[in-house]
Amino acid sequence: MRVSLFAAAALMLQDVHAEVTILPQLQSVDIFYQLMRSSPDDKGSLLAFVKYNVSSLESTLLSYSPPATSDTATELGTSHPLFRISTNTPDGSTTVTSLSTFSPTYTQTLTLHLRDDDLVFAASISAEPLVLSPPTPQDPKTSLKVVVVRPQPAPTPKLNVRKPVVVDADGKEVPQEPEVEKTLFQKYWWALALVAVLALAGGGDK
Amino acid sequence: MRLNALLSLFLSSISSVHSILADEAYHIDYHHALLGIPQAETTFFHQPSASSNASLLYTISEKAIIGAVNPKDGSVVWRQSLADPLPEPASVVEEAVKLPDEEQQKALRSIGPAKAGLLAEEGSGFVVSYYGSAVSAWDAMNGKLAWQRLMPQGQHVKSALLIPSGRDTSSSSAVDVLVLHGTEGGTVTRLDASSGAVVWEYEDRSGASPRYLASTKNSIYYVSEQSAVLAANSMKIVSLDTENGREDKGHVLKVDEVVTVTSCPNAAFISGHGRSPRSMKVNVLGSDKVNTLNLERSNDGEIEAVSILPGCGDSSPSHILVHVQTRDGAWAEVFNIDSESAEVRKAYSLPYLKAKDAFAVSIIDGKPHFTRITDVEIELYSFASGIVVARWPRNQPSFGGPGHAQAEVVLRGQSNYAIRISEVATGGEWTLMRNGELVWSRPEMLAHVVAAAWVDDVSGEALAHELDFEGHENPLRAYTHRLKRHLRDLEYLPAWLQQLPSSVTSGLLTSKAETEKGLLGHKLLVVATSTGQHVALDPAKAGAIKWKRLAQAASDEARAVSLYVHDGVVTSYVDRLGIMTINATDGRDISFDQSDAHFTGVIIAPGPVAPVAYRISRDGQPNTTAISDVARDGTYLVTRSASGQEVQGWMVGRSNIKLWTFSSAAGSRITNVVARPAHDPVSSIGKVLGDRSVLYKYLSPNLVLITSTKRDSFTIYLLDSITGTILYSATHQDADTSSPIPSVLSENWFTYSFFGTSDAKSPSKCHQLVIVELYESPIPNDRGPLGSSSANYSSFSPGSITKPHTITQSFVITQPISHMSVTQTAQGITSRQLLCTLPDLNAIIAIPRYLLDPRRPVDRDPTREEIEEGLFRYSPVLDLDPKFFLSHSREVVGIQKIISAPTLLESTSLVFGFGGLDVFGTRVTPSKAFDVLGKGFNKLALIGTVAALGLGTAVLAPMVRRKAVERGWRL
Repeated sequence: MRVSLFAAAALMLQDVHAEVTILPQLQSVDIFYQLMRSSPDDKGSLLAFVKYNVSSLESTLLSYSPPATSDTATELGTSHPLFRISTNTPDGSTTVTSLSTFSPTYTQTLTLHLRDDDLVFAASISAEPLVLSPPTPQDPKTSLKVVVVRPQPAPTPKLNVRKPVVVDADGKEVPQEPEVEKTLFQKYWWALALVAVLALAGGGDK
Repeated sequence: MRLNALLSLFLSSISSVHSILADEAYHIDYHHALLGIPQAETTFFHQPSASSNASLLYTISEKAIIGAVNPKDGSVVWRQSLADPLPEPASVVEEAVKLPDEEQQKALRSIGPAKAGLLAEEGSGFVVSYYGSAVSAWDAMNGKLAWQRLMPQGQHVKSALLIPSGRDTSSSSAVDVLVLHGTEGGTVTRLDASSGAVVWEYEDRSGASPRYLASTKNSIYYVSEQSAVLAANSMKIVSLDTENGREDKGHVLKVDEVVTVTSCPNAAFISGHGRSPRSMKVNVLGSDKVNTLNLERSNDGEIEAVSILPGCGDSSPSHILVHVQTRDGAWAEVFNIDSESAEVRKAYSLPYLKAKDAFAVSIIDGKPHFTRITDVEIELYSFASGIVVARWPRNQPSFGGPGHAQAEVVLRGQSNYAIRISEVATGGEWTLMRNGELVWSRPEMLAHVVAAAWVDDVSGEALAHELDFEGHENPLRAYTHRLKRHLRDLEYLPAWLQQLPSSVTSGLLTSKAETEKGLLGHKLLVVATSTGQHVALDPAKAGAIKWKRLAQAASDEARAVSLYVHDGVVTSYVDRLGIMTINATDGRDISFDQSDAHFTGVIIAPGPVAPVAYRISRDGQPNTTAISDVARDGTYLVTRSASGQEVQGWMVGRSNIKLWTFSSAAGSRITNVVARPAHDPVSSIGKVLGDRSVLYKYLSPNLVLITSTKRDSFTIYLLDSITGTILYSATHQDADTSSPIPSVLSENWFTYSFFGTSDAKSPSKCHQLVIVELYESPIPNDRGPLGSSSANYSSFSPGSITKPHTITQSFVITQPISHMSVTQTAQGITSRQLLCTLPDLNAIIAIPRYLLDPRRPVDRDPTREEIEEGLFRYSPVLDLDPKFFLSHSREVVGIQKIISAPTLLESTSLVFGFGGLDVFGTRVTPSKAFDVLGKGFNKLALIGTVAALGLGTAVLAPMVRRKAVERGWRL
């Protein structure tokens, strides 16, 4: 009996192991950007190429080429040209951002949302003002932070925790041994000690 | 602001014990308990008990509700739903979560649509209904189910009849039920009507599809349609022995497209005619002879509809009335059927009338009489001669023309007739007339309400406009304008002076209810049905109908309707029909713009001049109704495709640009998209904690909550509606996604409810209510990234989209929730209540928001500071306190949508529920009626006291003065 149980456990372990090896741990995604008013068949330009680990959600940015901030704006004559951010995932979603997000005075964060099938279904880019030092021309890759997120585990009711009821063969509840009550001495030893100390310390008055 | 915050804190602390008081129930709420529009074949007068002459009106409506209505006052005696659950209205099917999978659809196609029928025999004490695959017997007095028999393999019942049982009536019922069911080769089953037990069964193995049953005193006829390959449009008629169900003889008959089978005690006959008939073929069952009846009349339009009313008297011959309708008018032909010779002879015709009419047959002393009902009068024809024996004028035309009617005629003396008519109008109103006088009417069309909108009283708005004008002009012009206004007002002065005494006295004597009506504002409620009716209800007068309108060119087909009310004008957008504008105060048509544009919804967007309507097509594309009408630039819309595959964000204006899309992955479907209500004022931007620090609320007007379901899990996404950025997402595994997952988003929180596992580790499932509150930062007194940004910024500027800090909690609830909504008040100071429909209890409840606080301490008692905040210990089960039930003891069936509107009183919110069947309205005071004087306040006593005091002062003052003077002289 026990042997077979062990065998089953071993098999299960093997299964789990097999599954883990089959699943690709590393996935990659292309992020594109595309000017909002461009023609619909325009595929857009590659913004970033990211590799990520589906279990640890760690990511590495392999390439990043943001749109040039100054010249595009003057070319189009508008203050905030809008860009559509898309991915190469089938049935993927798109988000919108403006050119000013890519300004070097901000640090950009690329958030990649994963679906059940571990593919990135939506990517959004957000920016926060640089806290430190004035912008110096640097590698744009270092200014982009990539965050990979999955849907949060949903809240569940916090059910009351009660010890499981133990029943005997007849289905009657076996009364659990109540917690052993501490003796009077165990409870109030400190009071006795206090009295003793007081008695000893206050003895030599005469 | 601070005052508001303090007030709302105060209100939230006192709101813990609100309920509907006994003296408010049935006074502040109103309820139309509906059955749905009654069907012609299944509506009749019937005496429920042999001991009494009183009859009830029985019906099965098109909503598959069986019910009995008291003919005296139109109240529902009992009602039961034959379909379980209630059938979805056709226009919201697209939005329904449930989509039958392919197998189910295939099965549905093969068994055909469910057919309903209702049978009753005088003195039997029960009524028998069939619907779908079930035959049920109901106690005629109280609607209790006596027995129910389900047909094998879910086969639909095609037809059923009551036949005399021929057994000893003391031990069993005097009648038996004959049921025909099956798809290929039918089965006729005779059931004992007292128990539902099978007496005998006859099985047809020929493979023909069963159609009808008919019976006479002596035999039973089973009619089946031969398969089209063998012989098109030919019916096989088999007569069966009543005693043992054995096949006697059969013959095949060739018939036309539209076939009716009618049973009379003396003769049963089958009749058939083409789509636009000039003649009709009738065959008396049991003989081979086919009679051809000519229906044509000279110089009338093409015949559009033909219906047959049997007038079966006890004696031979039997009569049939054929009601013939053309485009403009109608007439009837009466035929005699000789059961011996199987011949049908024309007796006479009833005159042609250039109006819509309905016929009813009633038997007086065993002789049929025909009642003809038009919009102006009611005529009673004697069967023998076809002459009018009695005539009553009608005091009110029917809503949309007479549809079908049932009559109960009593003859007193020689020629003194009294008549009671139950009429179902084309517009869906069910009325009862006694000798032409309207006794009651039931607005059964309200069972189809798909859209509702509140109409504000606009009388004060003109003055507001003028005052606004005066405030913005230069002083001289404003002054002259004001003088002119006052001069104009002078013309109303005499009238005002005249009614001054009466208004003073009435002001003293008005009841509390009337004063309250003035305080709540004179709001009207306009509802639109999927079948084209527009009805205005007055919430202040127990939901009474103020006006009703039938859309032009309306049809029975269900359509999506969207209502929009602006400046006292109701604009109704009807799918594939056009745009109707109706005056909201009297219901008169203003204009009708016909168009066959197809849409799934309408969004009203602010325009440069007037609001602009955008019709949303099936793929989610917004289109303006007129090309020149465009919304203000920088207007953003969120739409959903009808398939549930995509949610799209649009920027509309001079050009429409699709900004972003949110797609569901393969195998999942977007079932619900909600945004904050259009009117959602927030009184406080933060939540004051016990230590006087503030948690700032995440208040974005641009939020959408999306529910995306898969086979056994669903994910909730919170999106920024301008950029499409996902702000929050959470997945529930092992949830039941076949039932609706209602959600609501308001202020800085959202809730949703579903049936799923309570714990990832345990397989047990429960109904859950999840609340998510959004804050700017987890740290009190800190506004997070938003604190540093300037007051005004665009959604597109960098750093403007920040993720909220979420605090979540989940509760176990004991009931499923099918729809959710939230109360709305004028300023948002009053605490909110979550309005939920409980479909299993047929109730609407209001859950106070403070109970759902996710910050309630778990597994420990609250600290002093938390108690000060109003928090108390978390308990996993949220008890649905009986005090929450807005519908108290009423049975409010099939509510699918609840809307709420603010009133002039901050404390009070109006609530209205509609959708599946009933309509229900009430008003709620989530923080108690803090701005209304209580019931203990007596205006008359107060004035009396003041007057008495004044009188006393007037009397005593000279006395005191004299005393003082006298005292002065004494010195």
